[in-house]
Amino acid sequence: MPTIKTEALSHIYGQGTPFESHAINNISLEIPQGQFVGLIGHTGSGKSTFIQHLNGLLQPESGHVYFDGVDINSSKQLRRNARFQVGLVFQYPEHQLFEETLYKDLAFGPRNMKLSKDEIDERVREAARFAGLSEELFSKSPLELSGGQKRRAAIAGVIAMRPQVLVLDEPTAGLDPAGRNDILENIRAYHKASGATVILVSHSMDELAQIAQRLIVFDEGSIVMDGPPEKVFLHSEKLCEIGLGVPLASEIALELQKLGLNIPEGCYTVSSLRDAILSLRREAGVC
Amino acid sequence: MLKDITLGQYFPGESLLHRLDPRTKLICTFIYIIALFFAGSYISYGTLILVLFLCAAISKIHPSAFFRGLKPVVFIIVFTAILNLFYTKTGRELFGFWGLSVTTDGVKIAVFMVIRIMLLISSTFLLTYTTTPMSLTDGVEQLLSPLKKLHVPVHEFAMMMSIALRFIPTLIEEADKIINAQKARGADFETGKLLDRAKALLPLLVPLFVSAFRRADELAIAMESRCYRGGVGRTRMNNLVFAARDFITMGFFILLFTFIVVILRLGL
Repeated sequence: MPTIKTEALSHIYGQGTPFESHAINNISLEIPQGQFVGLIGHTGSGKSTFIQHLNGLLQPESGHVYFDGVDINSSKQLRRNARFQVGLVFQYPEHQLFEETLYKDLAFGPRNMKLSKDEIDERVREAARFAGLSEELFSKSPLELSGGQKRRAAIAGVIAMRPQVLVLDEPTAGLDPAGRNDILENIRAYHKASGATVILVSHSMDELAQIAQRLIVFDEGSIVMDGPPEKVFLHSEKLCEIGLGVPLASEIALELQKLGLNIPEGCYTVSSLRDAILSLRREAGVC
Repeated sequence: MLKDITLGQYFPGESLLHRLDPRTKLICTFIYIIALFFAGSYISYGTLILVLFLCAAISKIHPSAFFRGLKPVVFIIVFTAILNLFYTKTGRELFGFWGLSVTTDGVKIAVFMVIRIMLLISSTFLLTYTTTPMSLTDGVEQLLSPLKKLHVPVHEFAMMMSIALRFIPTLIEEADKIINAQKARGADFETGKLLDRAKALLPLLVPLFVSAFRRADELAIAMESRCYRGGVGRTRMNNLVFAARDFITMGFFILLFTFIVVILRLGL
């Protein structure tokens, strides 16, 4: 099974200038195929730098990135292949749309992979379906789409390459709550249907609590926590210390525990907290 | 790759050069550049090199910043040097091939030309490295303000210049982001024939233009909503005032200029 593995990865920006800064420092981790990973950290914690190493856009100052056991920086060809294996959706990806029609824009990635026309067509339609874009939009200019549609179009443009790993950098930033939920739902559905690894970068704890199987917390260029959400959210004090906080439901659960109520550990989504409170009330015979 | 462009970049600092009035720095750079075109001998070039080194040392800016600034013009420098090397016919011939000959004068002029271009560029870089774009345009506006009497829209020019300077880093950053986003979709900007490479720029240029227009629109609205109506009747919060150090610096540069002209006259 293909996995992503990094070994002692470090990167320095602006080496030798007054603006020199360590973006990431000695990052080692392994992500097995098919996992849904949430990457969290506040602005400047190095998470964006980290993900750009995964597809070879940035080369590490020291350390290695392995995809399926192969060092992606060992040759130019491998680094280029990594772009297709690890699909990266940047922040505000709608700014990358450029073609005359949506269809052509979605086909940009597969076309760069030198696929046949039929194969490209199939992938474009599949990606549009995953992203919730109807085929009626295909002949429109991507610049005429609405804000939410543009975002979906940009994400579909990466999905169309059928990457084995899909990395999304704050895909819901600047969207309204409905658009946000829609996109998260699409990503979840894509993860299930394709079996691809998904790495979701966000600074919304609530968003990640809903969706991720594993959380990796970045602070000042290093990993400070790594584990399933219910474990990570137990360290609420530490999370607050680095300026992140815990999901609202988790915060309420902790406060209720402090009041002496028997709320089980690991209630970090609204629905699980609701069930816990309801079962407590039932035990107490309130309803 | 785009990060190498240092045009309009400012390095924060507290040195004498940073604290000088922007008008002083503009005038002195201007004097220096004119002096550069009067220079024609070892003594005058030596003096000018020395002055630039002195200023760079005072500014405390790392020398590598200047080399990075010169990198994009290496081609022009080499091109000029080669032209001068082969097209100067005076002096003693050193060697020749294919009907071309290299003379002592040719070598001398080529070396001088290279030094002249490098000093020209480095001195302007020193200006932008030590002056914020805002105070630079303030300086330009104040220096050109007599032209207002001739109905030249000086304020508008200065505003356009400051907006342009302000947006250079933003657009570079934006271009970098788009390049990365398109590379992530397998775009190839680095290989292929010239025509392929030109075509490969399309996925960069289209989004860049779209976003430049969007930014221009947003900026215009932001300025209008704060009642910006051009330069008429506009006052400023910080008026530029010359200090003693400004007069001393200008005096020094006028002396330098006189010295270079005198050397030229004496033919040293």
